[in-house]
Amino acid sequence: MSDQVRIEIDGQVFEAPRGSMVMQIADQHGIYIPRFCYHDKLSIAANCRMCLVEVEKAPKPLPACATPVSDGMKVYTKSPRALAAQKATMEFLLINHPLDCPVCDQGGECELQDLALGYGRSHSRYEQRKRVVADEDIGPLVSTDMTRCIYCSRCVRFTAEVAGEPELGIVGRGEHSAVRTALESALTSEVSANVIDLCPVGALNSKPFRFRARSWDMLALPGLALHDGVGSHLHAHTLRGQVMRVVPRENEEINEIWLADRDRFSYLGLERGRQLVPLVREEGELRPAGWDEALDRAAALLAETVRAGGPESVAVLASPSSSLEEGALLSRLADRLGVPGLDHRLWRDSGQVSTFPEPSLGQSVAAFAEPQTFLMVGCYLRHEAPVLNLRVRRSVLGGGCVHALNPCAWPWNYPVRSNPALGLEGLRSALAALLVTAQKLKDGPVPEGVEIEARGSPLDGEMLERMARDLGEGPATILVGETALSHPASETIGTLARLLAEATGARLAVVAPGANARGLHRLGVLPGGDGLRPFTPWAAPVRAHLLFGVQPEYDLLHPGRALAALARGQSVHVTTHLGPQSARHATVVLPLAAGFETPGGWMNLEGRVQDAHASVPPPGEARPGWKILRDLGRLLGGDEASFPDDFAALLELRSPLPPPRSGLPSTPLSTGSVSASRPEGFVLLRTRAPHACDPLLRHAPALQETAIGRRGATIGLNPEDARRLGVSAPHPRIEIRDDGGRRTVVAEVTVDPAVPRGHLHLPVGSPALLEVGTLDGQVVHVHAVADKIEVAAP
Amino acid sequence: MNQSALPERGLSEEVRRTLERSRAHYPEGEAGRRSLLLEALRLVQEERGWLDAEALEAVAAYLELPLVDVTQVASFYSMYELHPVGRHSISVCTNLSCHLCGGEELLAALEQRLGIRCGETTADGRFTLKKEEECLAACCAAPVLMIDHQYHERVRVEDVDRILESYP
Ligand code: SF4
Ligand code: FES
Ligand code: FES
Repeated sequence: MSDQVRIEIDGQVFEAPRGSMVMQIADQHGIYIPRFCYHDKLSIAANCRMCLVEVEKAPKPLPACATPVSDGMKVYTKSPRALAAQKATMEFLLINHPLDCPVCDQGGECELQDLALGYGRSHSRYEQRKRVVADEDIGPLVSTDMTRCIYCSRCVRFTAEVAGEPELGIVGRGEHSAVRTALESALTSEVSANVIDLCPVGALNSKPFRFRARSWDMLALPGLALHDGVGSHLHAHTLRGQVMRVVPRENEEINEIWLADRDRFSYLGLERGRQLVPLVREEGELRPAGWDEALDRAAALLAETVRAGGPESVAVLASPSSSLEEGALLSRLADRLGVPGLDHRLWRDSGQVSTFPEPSLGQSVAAFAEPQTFLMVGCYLRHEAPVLNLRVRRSVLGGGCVHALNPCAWPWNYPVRSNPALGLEGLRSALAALLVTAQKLKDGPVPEGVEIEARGSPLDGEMLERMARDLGEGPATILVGETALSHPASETIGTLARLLAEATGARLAVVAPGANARGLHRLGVLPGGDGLRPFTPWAAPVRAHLLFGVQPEYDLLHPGRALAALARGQSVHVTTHLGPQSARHATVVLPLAAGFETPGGWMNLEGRVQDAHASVPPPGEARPGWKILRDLGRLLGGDEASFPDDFAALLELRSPLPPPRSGLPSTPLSTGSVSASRPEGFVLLRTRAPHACDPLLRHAPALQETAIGRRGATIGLNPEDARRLGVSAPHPRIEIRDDGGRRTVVAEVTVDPAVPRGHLHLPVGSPALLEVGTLDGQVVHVHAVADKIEVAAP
Repeated sequence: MNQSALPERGLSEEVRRTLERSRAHYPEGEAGRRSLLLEALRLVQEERGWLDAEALEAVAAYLELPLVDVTQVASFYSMYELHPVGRHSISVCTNLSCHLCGGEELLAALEQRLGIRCGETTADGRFTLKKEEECLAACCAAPVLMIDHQYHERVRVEDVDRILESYP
């Protein structure tokens, strides 16, 4: 039996693979069959019946989306019988659907409205009362008008199949059916808002966008998502110079048709808390200034600090989402000043030389969907790169598998083979133990120092063996993520991961935060231009800082050190949003254009350079980063060649990008003993809060109100620790004291079984946790703040 | 995201034991666990009288199924009670045959006698009148009413009091 069959659709003959559906073949050849429930990214439900077509010899019309092709089949999509069936379906659908498109937010982009135009009657024969369905609040991102629902179940299938977080269902039966969450709760997934695009009618819409504009009034401008290194494509829908909403732009190779919630709603931060004018400090106070004055002050400050204190006295720190042009200008600016202290890796904990290879995926984004073994090392991909994680989910469903080595047992949206909560120290020793196991399995030599590192590993031999075998068999990828990159022993972890990749033949992926970590690495926005130089931005001899796109109080994992340094010295803040502590310490503030407001190129983690135009002008007097850096460069004596006047010239300067560097030295592993003793008190585990990890996100209120946002504003505490401490609902709070007992802060707690005992999970980035973030040291002491009970920590 | 600790109250020992035995009759893996769902819900309902959110969560956790799937199933079948019910549940058939033979009058008489409407429970918690019962598959004996899975056939309005008396 051949794998191809010949079918005829509307008189045209096509070859089609056996097993495919009539709808798919028709789509491939541009024959349109109306549909609601069918969606090529979802399973086939065949429950709307809009796609009924006539098939020769079949007694009744058949649904094209669920009718497999067969040899010699003749299909008529527009015959009188087919049309009659489609029109009848439409009439049934409209029986209960409100006919009030003018007041519906979906009007103008509604699949039901469009098809009703083609298949509906001009007036209804149904005169009885329509049914009404009560709305449910499913969170701050998605609005509900459930009376408009046509039960296509696309949203239900999306949450179960794509998002891997089955949260929506059709509850009830017959007339009483309604799309609902299980407990009338808000959606929790990091990609939940994609149901807005999938819903063919106005039942699920964007809540922040609700009633703000009409689809036909807006311009759809292509842009890029700048909150992780995936480089998802999007459209900014703008009206009179304002971004009204963001929707995905289809790109099969990157984000397909999906967007992470944070990429979709970060635009809300464009209008809130923006720095609109330049400021300079005079007699202790910040006051508004003109651009010329502020730029002069900034340039003079930097030049004078270098003159007086030498090149080591200035540090330049840039957001990892800065564009390639901004990166190129930043490194020229540092060159101009002769300053070696330049970095974009805000997550770094130590001033040690880094031997991490350039961030990359080791393969294309699309290849992540192929069946393979993934080992997540200090990586919670779900929050770090949500859309990439959807590919991993597909890989797992297709036969791949995932092991995770993380400090916390984060909940995944697919089955994982192992997911121990290792704590901070355990991550390092477990990885070393895995390397030992992998080498032993293949009788390879165990590199020096690894056995010592592996001491105290909390994992049992069986689990390690399983991991090592899965990694060794067939294709595999080891992902080194944010928690590994920001780990106090990140260099050791990086070396171990590299050795493990060599030992098992797995690919290494370094998933660094930010939209352009790979590009900035390539351009040399690194200490000394190559990163092979120790650099501690917050310690002497640094006396002045140039911060580009950074809110130091939130964007750094250890803001305490940074704020102390800023208080001691002088600083230039080129920023979209000025944080409260920065306002206290800044010497000069230059208002920066945000993403959506600036043209530029960004290199995603797979190494693809993508350009975007500005979609809207920056507000107030804010200027695009490249102009600010160009002007600063020229004021510092730079020439036209390095700091060109127009953007086109800059593009030429940026390309071609230098080739990736190779032959990095590796960090020696410890030869002494690693202390295995547990410190007294709680270990602070810092990770970036996924909905508050850059200035724009932080200022998007809807994102802060999601489950992820709220969790990111509270401390995570293991349930047993919570019980032992007497932390009690409904608003559990704890008092945290640093090791020296100098400072005490109070914070709200989420009891989270993912957090290991003896640890406090501190999401960094939310203003609510600023105080806790500034605590110094890794170990803290904790008390419950209850109405009466107060239980002391050991 | 499991942000809060799961409730530790789960299924009773007895329900667990019964389900463990039943598992053998179903295929391995998720398909089997899904098939077991109807039975699990029935057992829990028999034990607790009705299915509250906690019961649904316990069943979902035990069978490792998404809570929303359990909710969809539990809300689909009218035999599952998702709201508190009385000690005895009365279903009056008003489908075609029973309708023709006086089912509606029977229902009206019951409503009047108990002082409640369809879907409600008497104040003393003794009876619940089930909402919208469809054909009870005993058309030859219409009109039919069912109390706690016990059928009463060819019921006349004057029989109602006597029947009710036997359900304290
Ligand atoms: S809410 Fe929208 S997507 Fe979901 S079932 Fe209803 S019509 Fe379909
Ligand atoms: S599209 Fe085929 S039944 Fe809905
Ligand atoms: S109609 Fe009442 S039992 Fe069938």
